[in-house]
Amino acid sequence: MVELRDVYCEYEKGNPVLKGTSLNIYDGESIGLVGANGAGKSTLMKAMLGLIPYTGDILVDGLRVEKSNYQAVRKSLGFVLQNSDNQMFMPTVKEDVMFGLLNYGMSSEEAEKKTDQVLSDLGISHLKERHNHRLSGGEKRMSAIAAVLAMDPSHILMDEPCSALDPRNRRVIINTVLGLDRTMIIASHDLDMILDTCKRTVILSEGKVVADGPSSVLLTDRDLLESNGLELPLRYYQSGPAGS
Amino acid sequence: MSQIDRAASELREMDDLAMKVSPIHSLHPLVKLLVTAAYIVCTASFPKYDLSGLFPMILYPALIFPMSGIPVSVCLRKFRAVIPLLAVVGCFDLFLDRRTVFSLGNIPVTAGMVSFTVFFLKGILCLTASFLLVATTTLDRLCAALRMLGLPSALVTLFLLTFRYVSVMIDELYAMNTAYLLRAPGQKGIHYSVWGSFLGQLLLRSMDRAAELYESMQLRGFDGDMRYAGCSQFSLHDIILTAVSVGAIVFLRLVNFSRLLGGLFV
Repeated sequence: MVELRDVYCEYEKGNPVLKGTSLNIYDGESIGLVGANGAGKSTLMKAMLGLIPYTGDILVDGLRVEKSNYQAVRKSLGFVLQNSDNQMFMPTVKEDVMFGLLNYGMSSEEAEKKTDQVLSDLGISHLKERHNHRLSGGEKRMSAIAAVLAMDPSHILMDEPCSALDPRNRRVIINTVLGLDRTMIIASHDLDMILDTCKRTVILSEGKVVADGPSSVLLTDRDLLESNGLELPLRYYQSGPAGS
Repeated sequence: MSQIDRAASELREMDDLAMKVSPIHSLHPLVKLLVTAAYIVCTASFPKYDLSGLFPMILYPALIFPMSGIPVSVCLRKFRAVIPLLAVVGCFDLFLDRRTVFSLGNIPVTAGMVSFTVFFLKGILCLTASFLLVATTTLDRLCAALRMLGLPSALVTLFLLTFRYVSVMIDELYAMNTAYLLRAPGQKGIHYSVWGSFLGQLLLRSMDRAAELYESMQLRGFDGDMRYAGCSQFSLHDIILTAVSVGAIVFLRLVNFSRLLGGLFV
């Protein structure tokens, strides 16, 4: 479980990005974090991972996110970055997936076995020896997910997992997310994707949680979405949104 | 094809060569690294007039090229910029050292000609050896070998990440260049007045990328020491192979093989 209580974060003094955010994320949930640009979605994720300083309390499985607990917290929370190029920093997919495993003390043999298993589970075994800089956008994203999954985190945080992907690769990522049996926290502007993958949605606006509830309810509420800089998911523009 | 495209394509070509399968590719990277280092040191150490002694060093690339399946033409193409440079640097000897040392028929051969040839050949051989090392070893394996040799982790990590991000930077540069050219029709290249902001933008983007990359490494347990996979232990077999290869190179350096062979017939 992840608990956030009255979390404040600021990059510049006197200009907080998160302004007293409180949220509980229960095990096994899939949560969509939505909000306009600058609402604080990515900042919230970074604070949960201990990548930026914050005030308030963030607890991951009962452990406070602070320097002494970073290793344990980061083992529990896997983070898939928006830009896979920044995540896949080793020359090959195999090296990259093994990177975290070796850092957490696994032997080379065990790490390679685990890598094979994760790549096979995601159906991308053929990418194992490929160079990262020669993968397509979709392949990079899948490899980045594999690198995170290999570490067996109990929670997976994804920042815009479908950005810059073509429809087919977007669908592959959505199906992959649906097949993951973990707590998922997905920040995205792709509200259709959130509807497909998350039962619960949290709307952030100017660093605060302004709505928290079932995706099927919040993401069909045109007034709520528009007042927070969002729009109805595209599918409702084609068939007509409920209650519009 | 623009210069940026060409750079990206050459990078991909080197990747492809290093991913080939051959007896040379499958050798332990440390064997290749040590043998290459020994070869370069021995080759570079020949005296400036010892052309006959240097000549047998050609045996090394002559063996490695066919065994690794690397085309010689690719190597020559990569050296197209370096060959003129070597020639320019070495050509001063042609004018400064004009003592005649022997004649080929009626043509007097000066000491400058000999030293120029030795310099040029040494340069080409050393570059070829380095090329063969990189063309037969993937960078991750090369970095693992460098760490085995005790090179500082920070240096090797820098080397590895530089290679990984050269292609990303090339893409970035390509996008910026395209955006510039689309709004600067008729211009050839980037005008010097925008070099500052162009490079500044590239630097800022690189810094943002570096910050995110470091965060990503931290999230996966990076503690300052890169751990490399896919490189086995240096076995007894590897030690013997290294010793024999380095021994053969040192033998070629110490014994004037050409003179020895010539002596058999005179």
